[in-house]
Amino acid sequence: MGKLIKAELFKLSRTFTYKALITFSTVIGIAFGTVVVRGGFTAAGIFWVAIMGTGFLYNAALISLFAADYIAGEFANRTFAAEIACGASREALFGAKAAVFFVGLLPLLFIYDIITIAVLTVQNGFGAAWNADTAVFIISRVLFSILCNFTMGACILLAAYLARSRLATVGIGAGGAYLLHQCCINEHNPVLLKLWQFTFVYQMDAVCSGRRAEPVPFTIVAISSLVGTAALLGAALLAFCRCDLK
Amino acid sequence: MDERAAETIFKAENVKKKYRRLQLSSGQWKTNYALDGINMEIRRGDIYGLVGGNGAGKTTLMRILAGLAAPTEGTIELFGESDPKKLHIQRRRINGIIETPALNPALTAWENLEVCRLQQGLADDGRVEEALSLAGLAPRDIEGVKVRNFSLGMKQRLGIAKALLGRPELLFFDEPLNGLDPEGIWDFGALIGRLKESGVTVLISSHLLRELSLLATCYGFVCKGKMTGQITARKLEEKGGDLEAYYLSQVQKSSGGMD
Repeated sequence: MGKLIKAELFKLSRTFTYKALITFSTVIGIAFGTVVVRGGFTAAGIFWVAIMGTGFLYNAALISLFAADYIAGEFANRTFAAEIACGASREALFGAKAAVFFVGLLPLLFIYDIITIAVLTVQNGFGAAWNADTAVFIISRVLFSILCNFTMGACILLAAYLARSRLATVGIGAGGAYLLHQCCINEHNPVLLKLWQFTFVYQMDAVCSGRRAEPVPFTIVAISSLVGTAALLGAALLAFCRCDLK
Repeated sequence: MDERAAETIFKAENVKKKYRRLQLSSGQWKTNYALDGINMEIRRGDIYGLVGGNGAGKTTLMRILAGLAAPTEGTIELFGESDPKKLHIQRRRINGIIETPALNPALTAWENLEVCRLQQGLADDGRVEEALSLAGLAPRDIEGVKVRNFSLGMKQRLGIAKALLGRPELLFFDEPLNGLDPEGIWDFGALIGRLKESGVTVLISSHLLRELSLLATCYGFVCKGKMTGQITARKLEEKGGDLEAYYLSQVQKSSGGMD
């Protein structure tokens, strides 16, 4: 699998779509940070740290576009078929692809937030003392963001392996995320809300929207994310191993 | 005396491939057999011509060889290995093109081959340049050019270069002559000749019988998913040498056996 991961990293480094998405995130981060500061936004950097990575629909769109090119594109170009034909096992190929997909997600998701935090900090200060408590807080927010977005990424990755089409991946990924988001924010049944708490949709919404009384405990986020991501990746692997390729 | 080598590289025994689809008009499931009991054997050094019309099952058989599809029934054996869980290890000794070359259009020729080299863990010993040269792609023509801007012939050549990169023992080409101009067909023939001299085994499927007859050392005839017959080029020569006439006579047969 090491060879396959090396090849996938080489491919990713040469992929125009990925570079374009990184550039877009960077530009949006600079533009957004500049606009809100000039608009009189007085929040400090720590405010944005608290909500980093919870831009649900924005992240869903970015991840969908990335998965459409990086995963679904392999079906469209038949390059998965070529790799299997010269001896890569489907399991190893899936593993390498998933590993690099999630590694590739990190800069994609965090560039925008990091730039916004930097702009707010320069303009309004960080808003918290640099000590162990602040460090723990930052680490916990980063972990929270990674866990939720990786689960969303696993959902969209599964969609890519099932749809095997760029357009369908973007449609299901971004469209499905929007529908899930709408269902979540419009749910008022207390029993169903208890179940929604185990989903990344609710967990991200609870942090950034102010709609919920309090955020979901980190333990629940961690367990539900790990279990959910594993299940989704397992389903995607099964779909990939059983399908006939052209 | 059998002029073919003794070592069997690829063997298919009673291979069937079934597809089911729902007929909306009747609401019933219909079963189609793309392959319906294929028995064939490719020996080391063969230039094996797989002959059949459109929809005969040639591409399906190649996809099963390449691991892109699994047989519904029957077994395949590659370099003596028949365990489906271990076949991928033997597939590192083969490569080829099915229908059209599988290339990343957003990358250049060199980048496509470099990805392939990294995936297969091949040494960076100039084999990328060697493969491009064998396939007839001049560096000055392809430097910095994305594959999406290549002509069909150039893509075909790049696909061949990709197939040759790992110096495989068995190459398979599905309809490789489609879309090639006369110069391309000649170049492909010359390449097959060079591969034959170096001991590489080749499986070529085509319905262009005249061109195929210039390349192949033995033939297998596929019709409606069944192997209707197999014959060596020498035996065919003894029977008059007309591949087209022999193929048409095989269309009516229901079972295969080496003549």
